[in-house]
Amino acid sequence: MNVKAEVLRYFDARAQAPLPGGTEEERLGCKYLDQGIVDSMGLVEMITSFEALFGIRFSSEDVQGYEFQTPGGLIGLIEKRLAEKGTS
Amino acid sequence: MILGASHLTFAAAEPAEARRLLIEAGFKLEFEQRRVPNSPEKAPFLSPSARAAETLDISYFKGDRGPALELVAYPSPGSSAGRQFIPLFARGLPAPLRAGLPSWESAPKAALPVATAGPTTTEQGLIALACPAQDLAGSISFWREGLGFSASGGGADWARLELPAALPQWRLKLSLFTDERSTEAPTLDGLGFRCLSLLSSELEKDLELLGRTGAVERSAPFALTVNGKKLRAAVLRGPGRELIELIEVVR
Repeated sequence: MNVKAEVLRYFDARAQAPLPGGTEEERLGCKYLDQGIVDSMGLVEMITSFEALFGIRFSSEDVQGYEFQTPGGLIGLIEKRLAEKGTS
Repeated sequence: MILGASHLTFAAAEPAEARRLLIEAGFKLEFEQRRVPNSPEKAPFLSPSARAAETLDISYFKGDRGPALELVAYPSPGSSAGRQFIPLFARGLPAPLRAGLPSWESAPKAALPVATAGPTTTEQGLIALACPAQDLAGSISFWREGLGFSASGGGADWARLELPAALPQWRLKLSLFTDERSTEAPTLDGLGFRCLSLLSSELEKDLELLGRTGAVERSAPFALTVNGKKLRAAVLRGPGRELIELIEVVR
């Protein structure tokens, strides 16, 4: 499964507003929580949706961490959890 | 996993007046919902009169910071008996809303959060909660291991905890302090600040964990729709008989 494509598809389809930026790099670096692109209820839905889609579990530390604040960081985090799952 | 603090529930003898005063105090009315079905699973946590009610009304307020406030109105006002949370608001609350409610003066001075807003702040919102505990060590364990709070300070008869969260409005400071007096169990419809609602990503798993870390009573999960959102929730009592609601957003 292409994690980047799935994450960006989720933001395109479900976020309150589109990710800003003219380039993919800008979109991946967007601080979506600070910018209100995902609101509080949307964030809860996003976490549970990604956990179900990728078959992973985020930890409290994941959700509270810096990586979680941008789509790019989130993709890295999901890939890390998938790699752990594959080796466990 | 507990994602953060959603809101603190408030019940007042005169809900319409409380609504007006909360807006005057700087809270913004986010939405109101009339005739929300009163789930039978909540019965053990309600007074007999509220148990008989088929519905309740809710008004949901947001401040500039911190978790939201949910004003609940049952057909008849609840009792003022039993322990409750003691909130600390950035700009305080108008005197009529504070009348008859416990204040932070009942907690040890050291338990107050270090960084509180000054009296001249223009922001309104919930900064911190104090919660009396009959068994301080048991309560600390419940809030830390069961609900994901981390310790930020403490003394012989108090502890300061914090709930970290992805969103600033989900974060909350909590001060637990020893109060060995035995009182009757608070109810969800009781006057004052009776229930803290927390967001859960896995309701059953979090309920099971809380059962192992000191919850003394738990409801079965129940479904509800609030402001168009489909939710699942459960109510439980912590070791100090404090009321906690867990909310899970249905995908």
